[in-house]
Amino acid sequence: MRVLTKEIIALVLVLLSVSGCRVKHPDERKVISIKGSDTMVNLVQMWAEEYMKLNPDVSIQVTGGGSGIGIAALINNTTDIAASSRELKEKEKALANENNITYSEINVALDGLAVIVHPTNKISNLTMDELRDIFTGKIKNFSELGGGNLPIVLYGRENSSGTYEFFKEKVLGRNQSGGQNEFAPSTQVLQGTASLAEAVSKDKKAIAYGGIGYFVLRNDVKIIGLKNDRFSLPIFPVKDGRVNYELIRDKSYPISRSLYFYLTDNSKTETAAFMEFIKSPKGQKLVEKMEYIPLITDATENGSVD
Amino acid sequence: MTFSKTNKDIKSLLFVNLVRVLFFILLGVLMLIISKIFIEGIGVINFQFLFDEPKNNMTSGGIGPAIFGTLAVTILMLLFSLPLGICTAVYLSEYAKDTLLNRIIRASINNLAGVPSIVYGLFGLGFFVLFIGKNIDSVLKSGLLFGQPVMLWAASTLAILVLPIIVVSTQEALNSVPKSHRDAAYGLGATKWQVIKSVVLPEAKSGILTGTILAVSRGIGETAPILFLGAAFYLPNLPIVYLCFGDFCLPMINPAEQFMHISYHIFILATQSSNPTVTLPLQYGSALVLIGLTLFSNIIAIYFRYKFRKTERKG
Amino acid sequence: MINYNRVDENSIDESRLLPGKKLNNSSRVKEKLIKAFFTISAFTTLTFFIFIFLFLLKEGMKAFWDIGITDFLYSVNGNLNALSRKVFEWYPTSENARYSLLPLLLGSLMTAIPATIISSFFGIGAGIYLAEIANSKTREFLKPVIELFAAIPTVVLGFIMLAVGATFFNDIFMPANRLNAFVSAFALSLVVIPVIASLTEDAIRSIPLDLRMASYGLGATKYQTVMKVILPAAFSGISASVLLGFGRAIGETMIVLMVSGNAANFSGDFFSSVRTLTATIAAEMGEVSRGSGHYYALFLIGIVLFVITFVLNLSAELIINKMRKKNRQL
Repeated sequence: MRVLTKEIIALVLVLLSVSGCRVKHPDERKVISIKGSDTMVNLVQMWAEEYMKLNPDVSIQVTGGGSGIGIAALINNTTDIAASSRELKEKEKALANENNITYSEINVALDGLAVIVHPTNKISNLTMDELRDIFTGKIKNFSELGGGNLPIVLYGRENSSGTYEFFKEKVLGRNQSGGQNEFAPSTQVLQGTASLAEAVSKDKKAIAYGGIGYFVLRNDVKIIGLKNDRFSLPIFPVKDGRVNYELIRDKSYPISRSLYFYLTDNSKTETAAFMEFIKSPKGQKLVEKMEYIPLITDATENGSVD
Repeated sequence: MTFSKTNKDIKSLLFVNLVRVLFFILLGVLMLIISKIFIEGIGVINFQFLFDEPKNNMTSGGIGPAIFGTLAVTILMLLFSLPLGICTAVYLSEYAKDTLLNRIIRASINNLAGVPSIVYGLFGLGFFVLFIGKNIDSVLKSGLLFGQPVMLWAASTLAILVLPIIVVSTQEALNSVPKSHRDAAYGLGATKWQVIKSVVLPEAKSGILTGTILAVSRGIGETAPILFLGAAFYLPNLPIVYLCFGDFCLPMINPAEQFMHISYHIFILATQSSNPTVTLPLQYGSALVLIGLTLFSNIIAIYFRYKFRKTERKG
Repeated sequence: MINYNRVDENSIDESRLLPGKKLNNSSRVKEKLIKAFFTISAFTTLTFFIFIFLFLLKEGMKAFWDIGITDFLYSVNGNLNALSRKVFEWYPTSENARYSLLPLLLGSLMTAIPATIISSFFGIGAGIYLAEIANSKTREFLKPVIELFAAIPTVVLGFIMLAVGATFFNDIFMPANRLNAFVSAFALSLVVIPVIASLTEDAIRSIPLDLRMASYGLGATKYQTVMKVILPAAFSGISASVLLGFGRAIGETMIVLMVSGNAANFSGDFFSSVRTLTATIAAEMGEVSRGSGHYYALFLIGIVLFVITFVLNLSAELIINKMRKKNRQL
């Protein structure tokens, strides 16, 4: 017996240490879990940090992975808030219905997708058609567009990314028979827009897309202007090194989008308080700081979708 | 066993030295990697780095919560896998006869070791989280507690992953207890269980310890299974809960929460960090801590194995 | 029978043993209960293995139901010149979801096979070195070093390749894609080499001394002995190690997730990005909602991986068993 007493004591200690998994009491620390968009993850984290400074009894857990992950967590009911840089697809709405999940969609900020190339690339602007043909793989060399003789290397996000989906819908669009156009299979997949920026800064043949906040402060990538057709003026989403709010708000810049929070309807009171903070001027100031476009405070879009 | 007198001919000399060179190239690459990590990472490591939390979007601060999470999930993993693994090994070594069924058990344990770790993760997500977790939640009416990826499920999945390691090492340890010791105990009138409890297990202790340490070093480094089983990007608080006796509060690991983890942290920083130039030293630092933990535990295991072999040779 | 005088005082502490008891009924029941306890533990472990396979199978089979068997090989694109054309694409999240596993399988093979080839070369060499060439003191020191190689977490290897390796190879080879199959194969070999080296060394050392003595006795040089006597004798052990190494390479996730480029390309170019089976599960596991076709498809990939590694491990084990029996006969 002497032999085992030490082990038994150790076992008891460990068991005690693990018995902490009790059901959370309502008066204990409140937890909000947010999952989803990589585009938004840094913004969400800033919001979380600021909010927790003001409300130390609330704890906010942030996980990225892509809008698809947030939406899947929403449908599986494994998160309080899903951060998404795109809207729900029909398939997803149906699945949510099947699983008896109701949710509300709240617009929290605006964003513009920028297209970037290496700073030494001669191309400075593209039409929307050219952009589409590049990313579907039809145009394979920058020389076809007036640039240098460089075979184009496409970089994109993984298919769980809201940015991926949004770009695919807005830019790649549909072909003549109505089917969706796909990214070329040779598109290199990287996790997170930051790694796309890294990759483009190191590869002269690269072209990529992503939320403008990730690119505007870097001087090792070049942001391209977009034209609706060959004869219009190219529109640049940046002005003087900062994001150009007006062009995105009025949608003159062709690929502007809304960023959403999806809340399950059985959300807690602390979630509602957090949403208040986000919509407040303080919260929207953080949006600006992170290089996204703040909502115009009075005209917030607030749609509840069942 | 080198028989050096017979390799004086050219072919042998060339051959031997070619192989020698190959080996040392290999060694060189290994040393290069480890020293690169060491050189780049050592500058970052200080008390703050080891205990502070990440700040400013992961561009400064430390990896304290990640280290805590790693230790917490590893402790849980051992809690689940050690008893089961040791008992399985005891059965296989002491009780099992060489029947077909037992050979199947042995074979399946060896094959469990070869399953890709991501498949374990998939199983953990589909079974533990989405099936068992959900059902626990509906039975206990605890809302969204177990039905999401939390430490408990990560630890369970990792436990299944390291089970073969523990079973095999424990078996080796049990098998190397000399038969004479067992026979002596039987001769003194002990029952089978008494023999196991008083003779075999105590003598096999260091081998079991070796197996534990090997399991720990494997469990710490596995990232794939925990990717979607509870490892989090950023948690403001440690996954602990306080058990209070009046004013006196003991912190305890709360397995029903998400956790940060060094391996996951390295993965996130390496592939998704918002400012790679700034976070690169942090990445090296985290890699160094992880390698440090892994190598350290492996060295301990090797030391124990060596010491254990020495005592066995004496006995 | 047992000679009581030979009980070694150092090895048994008599005070730890209960005085000899006659086995009465309650002791017998207790012994039986204890044995049952251990038996149940062992069967629980077996159950886990079976259960994992069955669970994966159940969810994976639903994929066939939801999606259709041939769709996992190819999809038909009827829009091209009214001729049906077989298309091998993995686009699980599109409206017109395509689930061909072939680009993924090809990606896995394109990283695992070169890795295994490189690792066999270096691993078998290292095994030969440790078993035949190094003297025993060196071996005692170096073998653990190789095992430490195996202890490096794969996420760290992936990170090093991203930070340093990819750019290094980029400057040398100027490939079309910076992150490609070749870079991942290189990183994978770092993981596989210790597996092959360790097992090769074990296999070579298990060959009885007599065989070597006979060879040298006949006047063979070291080179001839190793190449013509020892390696053929250790052939089964070495091939088992290569099989296990290959299984390890196919099953590896983090390295390929980080450095293979993750493009579901169906091409044979080693310097283009590829997407492996494992990386696909890792990348897409988080975004599947339970019950969607995509979810089941990932489980199907899981089964494919499980079966591949199971077959490889089983073959390796059968070969090793055969080798052990043969060595006993020698």
